Amino acid sequence: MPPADPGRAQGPSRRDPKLLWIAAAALLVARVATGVYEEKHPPNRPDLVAWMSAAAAPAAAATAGKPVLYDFSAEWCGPCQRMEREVFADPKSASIVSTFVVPVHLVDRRREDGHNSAIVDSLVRAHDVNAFPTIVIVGADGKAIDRMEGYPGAEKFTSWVATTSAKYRMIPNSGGPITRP
Amino acid sequence: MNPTLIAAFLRQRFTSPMRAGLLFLVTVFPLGAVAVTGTISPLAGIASPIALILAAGAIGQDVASGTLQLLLVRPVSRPSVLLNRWLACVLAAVGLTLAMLVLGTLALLLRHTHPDGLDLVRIVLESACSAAGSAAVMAMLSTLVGGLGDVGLLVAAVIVTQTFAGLATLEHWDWLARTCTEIQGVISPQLGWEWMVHGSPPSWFAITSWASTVTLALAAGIARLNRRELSYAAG
Repeated sequence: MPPADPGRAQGPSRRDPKLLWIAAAALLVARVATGVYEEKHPPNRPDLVAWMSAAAAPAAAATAGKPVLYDFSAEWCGPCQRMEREVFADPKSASIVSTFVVPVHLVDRRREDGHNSAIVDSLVRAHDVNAFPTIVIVGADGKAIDRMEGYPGAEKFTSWVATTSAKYRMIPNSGGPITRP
Repeated sequence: MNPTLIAAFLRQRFTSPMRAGLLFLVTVFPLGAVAVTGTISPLAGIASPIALILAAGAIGQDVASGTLQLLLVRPVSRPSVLLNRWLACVLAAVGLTLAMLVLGTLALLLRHTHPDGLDLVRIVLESACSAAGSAAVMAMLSTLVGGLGDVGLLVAAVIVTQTFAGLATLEHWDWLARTCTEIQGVISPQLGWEWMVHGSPPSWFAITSWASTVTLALAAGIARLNRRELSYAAG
């Protein structure tokens, strides 16, 4: 048989959780306030991926025998920020990305500035990017090997990067080490 | 905190064959994955499902069976019942996660490797937060419907949110994608502690979002339970 709650003998059995309501209301106000603040001043997150510039990436990829990964992102895109937090700021995930591919981060500025830089614009057109994030893995010939639209979670994303890169390295004349049976 | 209520609730939960079977599945498979992959990360996400399994029907099942009506004849208040059951779920989920982490670490030591200490602390803190969040939401849902109807409500909410999130990605509706992300955060409140490992400042928005969801779920659950008619005649 459960013992009586402290003070229960005199109090009602259906006490309204006033303290909990006050705490919840205060936290909701704090949530809105911190949300607005962090929207304007995003907290500095470490970016642990060894990004390369779009211009230098193809040559670096050919030398390293790896495919190029284009990460098409936008500042207003929520899933892109989640991916930055969970993948690019995570030591293990960032290491997988840097190891298997030559990563290039491209930020679409059409909504903010009305246009993109020439190189971002040409890559957006070449890979028909209409949603963010879009990640395209490209071979030495510049053709897309595989692409992913949306962010499926850190584990699926890193697994996809590793698998696609491994497939690329199996293709003869890909520039990567050829695995022979 | 009422240890007798907590112990009685956990005894009821762990003696249910269905729950014991589900707990076995959600703990043993990740433990096997640790042994195979050589990393402790498969155990990072087990606290939330454990809390959900334990909290499912926490109030609704006892209302449907008439057990809660009998319990409330004793000098125990309704808020105390809900809060102690929530606490029991959190304690059990964290305890089981800790036990699995110890076993996982032993498995890694047998492979002549070991997990990073700071990473283990992060997993424990994240597990405690996700268990507290999932158990609070489930306890709140359990006050709304009888039996295991809370599981149905949770599954329906997840399916609807995922469907709309897919639609938002397809149609490029950012406002809908954002709304779905917020709802998913409410259905499954989690708090990341990776900032502690990286030495970067925490996101206060993430902390207040998680804390507000947990307190709001508990307050709403208590308010609903207080207003519920629990006489035998009502059933």
